Amino acid sequence: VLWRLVAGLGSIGSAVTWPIIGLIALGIGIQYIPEALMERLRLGLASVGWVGQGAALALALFLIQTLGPQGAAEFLYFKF
Amino acid sequence: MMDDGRGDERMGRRPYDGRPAGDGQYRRPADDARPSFRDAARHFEEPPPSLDDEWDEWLEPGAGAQRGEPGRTHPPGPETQTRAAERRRPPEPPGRRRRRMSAGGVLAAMLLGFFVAGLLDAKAIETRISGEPLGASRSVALALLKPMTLLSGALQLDRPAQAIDSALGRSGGEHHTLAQAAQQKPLWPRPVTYAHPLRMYVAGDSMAQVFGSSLVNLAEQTNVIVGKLDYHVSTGLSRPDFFDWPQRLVDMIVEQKPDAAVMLFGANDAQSVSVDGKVLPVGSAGWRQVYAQRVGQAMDLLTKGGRRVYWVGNPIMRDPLYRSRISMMDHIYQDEARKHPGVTYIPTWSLFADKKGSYADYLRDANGDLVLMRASDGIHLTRDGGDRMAQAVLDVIEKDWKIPQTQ
Repeated sequence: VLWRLVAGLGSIGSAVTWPIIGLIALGIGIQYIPEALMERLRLGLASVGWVGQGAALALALFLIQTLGPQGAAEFLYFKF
Repeated sequence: MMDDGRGDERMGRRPYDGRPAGDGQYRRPADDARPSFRDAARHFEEPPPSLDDEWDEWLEPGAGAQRGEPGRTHPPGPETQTRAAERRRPPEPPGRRRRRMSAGGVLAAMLLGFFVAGLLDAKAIETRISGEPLGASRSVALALLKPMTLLSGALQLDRPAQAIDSALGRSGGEHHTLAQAAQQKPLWPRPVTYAHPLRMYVAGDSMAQVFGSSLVNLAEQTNVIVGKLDYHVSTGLSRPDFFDWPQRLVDMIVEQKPDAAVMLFGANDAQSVSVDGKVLPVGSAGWRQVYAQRVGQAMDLLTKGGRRVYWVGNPIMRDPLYRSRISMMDHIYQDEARKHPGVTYIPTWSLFADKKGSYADYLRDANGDLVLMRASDGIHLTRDGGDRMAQAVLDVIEKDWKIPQTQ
């Protein structure tokens, strides 16, 4: 199974694509963000007021909506 | 009055030094338990134990004492953990203290967030609402959304969504014409080999998602078939205003050059259709005529040039009213397939019925085990259900193209 994961990379169509791999790497990388930096971000967000927080919420909702899969996530079903 | 540390001696008591009296005299516990000023001062000078030290001491009592650390006899409670977390938190820079926002501020931020997100994604919201069944609620929702869509367009706030869709390949790209599609002349019958595989295009609505992926998986295991799955949820042939399947089929014929096409529609088509501004209720004579025309048009498109088409019927459904409508559509597919050479209708109704011919969530597989075949909505298929339907369709394709059977 592990070999098929590697051997099929780049040729398994819509199942595992480079954007998917990039997102996985991003998800792992986020775990290594220093706590101090996250604290600074939290403090920064708290200091921008309701307008800034509303804009941040809008951006987050927009990205979730736009970047999310159409229908059920194909990655969960396909090719496994 | 200043404390010279000898007050206890004047009172006739041994000065408190942290050790038990050891003279055999009875003392009230409060005498020894009461901390002196020096003891309290020493407590403030000692650095507080960290949360890790407290846990270590609790897990292994006495180990800390051997290292010369103060001991504990109970696990750190929530209060201790909170204090430790506060100690571990980096000090806030001066002038940047966390501010508490009022409830009104939070509400305002939320409303602003939802409103701006709505503006940024107004087109997608409009598309989704357009796909709802024709009726008053859809009309009202579209009317309410209209100003938002106009504002989004005027402020060009729909551009980021367009850019992202384009980058993700969801914009649809350039459309092709029917004449271009007609230039494709797939050959049938022909030998299907690894070097010249059968190019199979699988399309449909959400029902085609699980079924189609199962079919592509099974078909590609033959090593002589390559599949392309193209499903679009909430779509069908009833509502070309929501998703233009005929145009999509033309585009896919030109781009994918399939030898064979597998279609599965109907799950979203049990709804009224609008023709020249007139709404035809589902199931009416007018509706059946219009729907049959659309199915026939799709079959014409797909078979142009000699392409083989496998039109898959829907399985039995749980809800009685929905079941009767799906049955009506399956009969339309079957009738239209008879009129179109090159189209094979593959019924799957009874594949998902029990021995009595009724709907069943669980059915026996080849080993005689009861397996869940249907999703909780009584419509869609589970992976096992998709595999069962896919195997039935693949059997027909393999026979049609003289490919050795996989099962």
